[in-house]
Amino acid sequence: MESDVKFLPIRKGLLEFLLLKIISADKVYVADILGRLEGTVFATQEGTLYPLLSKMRREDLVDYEWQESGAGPPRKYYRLTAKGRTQLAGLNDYWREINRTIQKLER
Amino acid sequence: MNKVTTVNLNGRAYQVEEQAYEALRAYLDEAARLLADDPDCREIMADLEQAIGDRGARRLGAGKNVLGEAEMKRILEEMGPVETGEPAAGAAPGAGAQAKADADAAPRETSGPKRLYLVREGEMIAGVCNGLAAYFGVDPTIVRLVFVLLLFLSGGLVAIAYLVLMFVVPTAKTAEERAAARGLPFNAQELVEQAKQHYADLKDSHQRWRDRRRHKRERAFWRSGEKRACKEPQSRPFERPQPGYGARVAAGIALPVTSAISAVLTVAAVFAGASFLTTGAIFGWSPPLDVPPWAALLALIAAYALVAAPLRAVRYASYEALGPRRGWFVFWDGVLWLALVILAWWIAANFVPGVSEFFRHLFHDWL
Repeated sequence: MESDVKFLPIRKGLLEFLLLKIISADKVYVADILGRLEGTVFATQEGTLYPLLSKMRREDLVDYEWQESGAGPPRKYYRLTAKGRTQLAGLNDYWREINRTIQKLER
Repeated sequence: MNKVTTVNLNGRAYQVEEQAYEALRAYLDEAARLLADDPDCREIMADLEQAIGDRGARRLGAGKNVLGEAEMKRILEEMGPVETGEPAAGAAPGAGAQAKADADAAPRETSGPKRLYLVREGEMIAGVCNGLAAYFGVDPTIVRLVFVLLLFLSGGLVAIAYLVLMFVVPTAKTAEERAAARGLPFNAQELVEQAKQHYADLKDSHQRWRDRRRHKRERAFWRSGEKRACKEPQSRPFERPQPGYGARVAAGIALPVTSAISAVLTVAAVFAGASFLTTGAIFGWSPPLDVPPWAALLALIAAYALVAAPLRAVRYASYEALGPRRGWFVFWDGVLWLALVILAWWIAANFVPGVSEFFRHLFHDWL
């Protein structure tokens, strides 16, 4: 439980990275994203996700479009912008760097 | 037995019990309070209402049309508290792109005080002059006149510089960037990053243009929501209401006409000043002897400002009316303005008496 608390800020910071990853795979809407994260240590709720996605859209990392859904009201489908893809590539590299460092220290 | 209230969640009506309403109200009020400073406050509120509504709808059905307190509490628990905390500072905008480049270097502050940006508010072509003006803290008109003058003296080389800047300098999109446009020069690394970015954007622009059209629908969608404690969003271009068709046509006509007039007027004013300084007369007309030259010059500038002000007002109003996707139109309008300035300049330099002398003096004395 202690590590859970210690890693709280790291999890928060990584969430944006994970969102970029999830969105890069496919056009997704919020329930998809929540579903992908559910059951992981990154489980997130709408109260966190909407403000974060909004911020990412303002930074031009993601964009969305409305799509009619069969039953309910139209849904926002998110996808990455060119800038989002560039940022994801950069974060992926950085993440690998972090992993290498940790592995080196474990040896 | 409990009293039932109807609530409007992002445009849809739901029946909820009084206590459920209280819980909902408390959640949304708290959310609005936390989001009050977020530029997308209203949109996020609409998203949250929508999500609550969707969760509610899943719990309702043929045999059940009212949400109770316990269910509402459960829904709100699933929604989770609203978190606005900016993620760790390392995740600031642009950090990703840089991460590769300077993985072990200290993080560069992206909110540095002053940077060169293209400024797209009231730009003529791409906002280069406007951005330079913001950067140096002078009036854009002065930068444009200097630009046109340099264009002549350099024989067009400056136009290439303009094109390079247009491609390489980022556009100030957010309020922070627009503020930064006025306040460190960017480094070569970033120049290369930006050029790559612009190229990628260019490839992406068609798709994005199509999506922007969808944004419009979305706007209508969440604007219909109930007003909460959200602050009015700051002037972000695409949140303004879309003007009607008539207004846009009028703007489409007014823009080139006012460009033409203002171009001729600008050149006329510059040359009136030039001819006055060299010959002591404004296009052949000498001010009365008891008026000192500086007063006559001031009067000339005042007269120009007086005539130009309404024209400028019409131009800006037209930009507004054309809405956020005025891009190409404004580009060609800028080209027209530049062409007219050059034409008027050429005519004046060759055929207007005071001005041709001024140029002869200029080239003779300085060059």
